[in-house]
This record gives sequence, structure tokens and C-alpha cells, in this order.
Amino acid sequence: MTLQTQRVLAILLNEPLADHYGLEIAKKAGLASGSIYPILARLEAAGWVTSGWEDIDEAKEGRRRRRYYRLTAVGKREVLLVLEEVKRQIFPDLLGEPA
Amino acid sequence: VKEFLLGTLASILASEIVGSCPAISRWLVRRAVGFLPKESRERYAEEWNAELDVLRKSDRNVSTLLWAIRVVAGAPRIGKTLRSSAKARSYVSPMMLLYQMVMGVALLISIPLLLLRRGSNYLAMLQGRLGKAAGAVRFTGGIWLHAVSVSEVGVAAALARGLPADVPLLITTVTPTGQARAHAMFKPERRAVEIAYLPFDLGFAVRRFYNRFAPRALVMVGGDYWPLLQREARRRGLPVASINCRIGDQSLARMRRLRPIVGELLAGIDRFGVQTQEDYARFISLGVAPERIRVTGNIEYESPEAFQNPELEKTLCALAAGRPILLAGSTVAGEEEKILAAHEMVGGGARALLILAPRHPERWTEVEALLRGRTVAAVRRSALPATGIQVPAVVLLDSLGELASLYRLATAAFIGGTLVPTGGHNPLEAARSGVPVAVGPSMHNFRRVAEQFDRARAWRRVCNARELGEVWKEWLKNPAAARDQGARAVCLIDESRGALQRTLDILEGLQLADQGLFRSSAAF
Repeated sequence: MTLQTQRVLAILLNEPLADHYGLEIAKKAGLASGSIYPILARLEAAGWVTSGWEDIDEAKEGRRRRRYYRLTAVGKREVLLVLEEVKRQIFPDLLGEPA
Repeated sequence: VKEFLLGTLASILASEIVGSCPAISRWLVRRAVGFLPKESRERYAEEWNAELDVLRKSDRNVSTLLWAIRVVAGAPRIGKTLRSSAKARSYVSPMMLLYQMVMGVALLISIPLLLLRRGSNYLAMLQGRLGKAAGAVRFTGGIWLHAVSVSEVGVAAALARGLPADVPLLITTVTPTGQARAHAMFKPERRAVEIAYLPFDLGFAVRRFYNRFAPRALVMVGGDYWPLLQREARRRGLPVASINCRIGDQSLARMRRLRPIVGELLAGIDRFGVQTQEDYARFISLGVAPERIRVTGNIEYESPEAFQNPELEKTLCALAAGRPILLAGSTVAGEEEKILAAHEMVGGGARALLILAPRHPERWTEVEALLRGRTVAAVRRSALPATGIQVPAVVLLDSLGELASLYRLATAAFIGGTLVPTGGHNPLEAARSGVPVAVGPSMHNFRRVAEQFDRARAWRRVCNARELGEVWKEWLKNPAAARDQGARAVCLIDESRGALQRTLDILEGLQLADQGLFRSSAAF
């Protein structure tokens, strides 16, 4: 998993109930805007992330509806497993694993 | 002068280019969308144009252009991801292909037989089960509660009370009776709810169903497992739970024989809430990891009361004209004659009004013919309140979803499917209302409930029409004893509560909190 993907997942994991759109995720993750979509498409295809349209009256809001992204339950479980694995690799002694 | 002119020209060109950035960006977005599969173009065009608007509003033309260049640079990768994902989704393993072929053939044979045997009532069901439900979908993205039997719909209704009221629900069943019960228990004015038939386990029907309702979590009441349905849930990242489940002796033997397939099916379920320790051991013997199972007890004891129909109750009381009411619910072929004989023993229509409720709608006409053949003064519920007979001996309950609420009108009840060897029907709805209940010997569909009722002497067992007649006569003669009998069952039901909260704990532990479906999370 690339560092960029990890950053995107970290944003979604930190605020699991919030709605995030592409530009916002890119900004929070410190990624160049525009490069975020291949990552989101990959995560969505894997079932880790789900997306849906913002429910607004476009005429009233004066803007187009956004596409929001959110971690799925499966995504969260997988991310936590990845984090666990990363911890194990970085701190093998602390977790009682052989170095 | 030359330098000045060149500088001015460069400045004009730069400002022209910068000024054209939004137009160039829009053009680049159109190019980017062209790299994607046709079915995804509309979605991404809308998404990217919305983001382009956000950038433009921040008045950073160059940033907008850079963003668009990156989008167009990444688009081929997105296209590749979407295409390979679609390919993976459409891939069907040889085993699944064989399964679908067998399912297809089985349905082709069984559907005409079903329609012949059970009549046109089942046409709407077929349409629904092919994923072609009538009417527009009002709510998507809800928790999907799937229930097969009428009593499982009651479990789903009990569970629904513990779920946040603002989360939409999708309820599925497999029979018209189940649908009627669901409509009776889930009123759309009380919460956002969609009621639909479970699709047949065929690829096109399953996909159509998921696309239509887009559920966010699947909770199966009992153990109605379907490979394609569950596989699609995994693909879409839905958490899956099976609650209030049990494994009977016959099911266990069957599941052990098909262990490789069953193992795969069960592996796709995140959490199991089982009724007893015995069920816990049985699931483990089938390869389910212990940490995924919790003994919760039986939620059926906590099913909510059915919605009442005061108009109907008033009409029935008027028809009873002061006579006590006897209710025989969920009767099956071969039982109505026995019940009518028991009614005769009691004194017939002169002594009590009998409400006769056959389990299956396709038998209503048959039972009516039986009543006519015996010259019993009977009326059909569908003809009420207008009826030519002022004081009928029997009311034939030819409606769906009304039986449960009528037990409380009765002085004594009988649970059908028990005097013939069919395994019985759920006695809890009747027992909860406080009416004294009689059942026949066949109760193996509810073995554990039956054991508890037998132990607590919370009902009366009868073996034939004569014994049923005697029990009914006894209760009519001695209302205090009848009330005591009913109270014993109510007491047993009250003592058996607690499964609902334990099941809700499981669902919270299933990370539904992170789906926005629960407000708080609790450890499993």
C-alpha cells in the first residue's frame, strides 16, 4: 500500500461519520489535488470505500452536488489490520514478536 | 521599443492563457472522462465538474488548470481500475455457474407447480422475487433485515425498535403471508421503511435488488443463507450478521454433508447471534470461529404486539353477540375438520363463535367449501361488516396479517399445524396476549420453545379433536382457570426476555456505528 493511499485512509478513518469529497480529502492528506481520484477509485473497487451523492437542492445551494466518500465496515476492518501489521513491523519488541 | 512590445505581448498572452484556464480545464475534464468506461462517465463528469466549480470559485485559475492536468493524467488508471473491477464482478466461478444453472432449472420447474398449487396470489411474489418490485423506491442506504417466517418478521420488528428511528429499514420476506405481516408491523408513517420480496438467488435478480435498494448492512433473522446474495454483500462492503439463529437436528446433518459449501457461506457472515449453547456448539462444529458467535437467546419472546384493527375487533365482538370467542390460528389441511368437531363438542355456534384462520391463503376457498358442506353458518372476514348471517357459528379469517392481533379477543385458542405432523406454528403471539392456548403433539419446528412451555405448563397439549373439545369446554366453563393458564404463558415470556439487547450489542460491535447506523459503539 502506497504512502498516499495510507494518508487517504487515515483521513477517512479519523472521521468515519463525516462526508468527504475528493478535493477536501486531497487537501487534508496533503496530496496534489487531482491525483486523489485514482486512489479513491481503487479503494472503492476493493469495497473499502463507498461513495454517494450529496443530497442537496442544487438551485437553492447555488452549486452542484458533491460526491462524498466514506469507509465501509469492511474497509475499516482492513485498515485496522493493516495498521496492526505496520505496528508489528515497526515495533516487533513492544508487541512481543521476534525481531 | 522592441522589448516593450515583446513584454506587452507576453503579458497579454499570459493573461489570455490564465483567463482561458477554466475553459481549458473543462476541456481537459471532458478528455479525462473519455478514458473511463461508458457507464462511469456521467458520474465522474458530474463529480469533477462540481470540484472544478469549487476551485474556480476560489479564483485560482492556474491551480484549476494544474488540477485538471492531474485529473486527465490519472484518468487512464481510473479507467483501468473500473474495467478490471467490472470484469472481476462479472466473473462467475465454475461452481457458481453450476449453482446458478441448477437454481434456474429448479425455478423453471417449480414456479408453474407453485402457481398451480397455490394460485395467482403468488404472481406478485414471483415478480418481487425476480427483483422487479412494483413502485418507486423511497429510501435507500438502510439496514436490511431479512426474515423468512411470520415469526421472524416479528423478530425483525422487535429489533427495529432498538435501531435508531432515523435510519431507514429494508425488510424482505419470501411469502405473501410474510409480506402481509411485515406491512402490518412496519407502518411507513412511523419510520422510513421499504418492504420487498427477497430476490431469487440468481445473478441478475440479486444485482437488480442491490442496485435498487443499496442497503448498508445485512441482518439475516434466522438462517436463510444464499451464496450469491451474500457474495454481493461482501463485494459491496456490507457488514453481515445472522441473528436469532438456531440449527435443528436435520439442518445440522444436511449442513455437515455439504460442509465445503456451507463453510464458505458461513465464512461470509461477520457475526452470529444464536439462541442456545447447543446452537453455539453446532456452529463451531461447522467451522465458525468462536469469537464470531454469541449466545443471545430467542428474540421471539420480545416481538412487539401486532397492530390492532379496532374496526374489525368491534365487528367481531358484534358478531359474537355476547358469546365467547374461540380462535384456531394457522390451521393446515386435515385440521379444520377436527377443530369443527371440537367446536361442536363445546356446543357449536350456540355456545361460542369460532374464528378459523387457515395458514395458507390458497386454502381459504377449500375451507369455505368444507364449512358449506357441513352446513355451518359461516361468514368470510372479507365479507365483513356486511353479512347475511346475524349470529354466525364460524368466521373464516380470509385475510393476511390480522390473526396476531385477534388472539386477545379470544377466550381460548388453538395453534394450528400441531394436530397433523407439520411441526407447528409460532405459539408466542397467542400466548403473549394472555389467552389460554392448546396445541397438538407436533411442535418440532419450535422444539425449544415447546420444551419451555411444556416444563412451565404454559399451554395444554391435546392429541385429537375430542381432547381439544374437552379443554375448550373446561376453559369456557371456568374462566378463572382459563385466565390462570394464559397468565402462566405471559409469565414465561416475561422471564425469557433479554435476547434483544444482547443482539443489539452484537450489531453495534459489528461497526455499524461507523456506518452512521448507530450513534454509539459497544464492544462485542
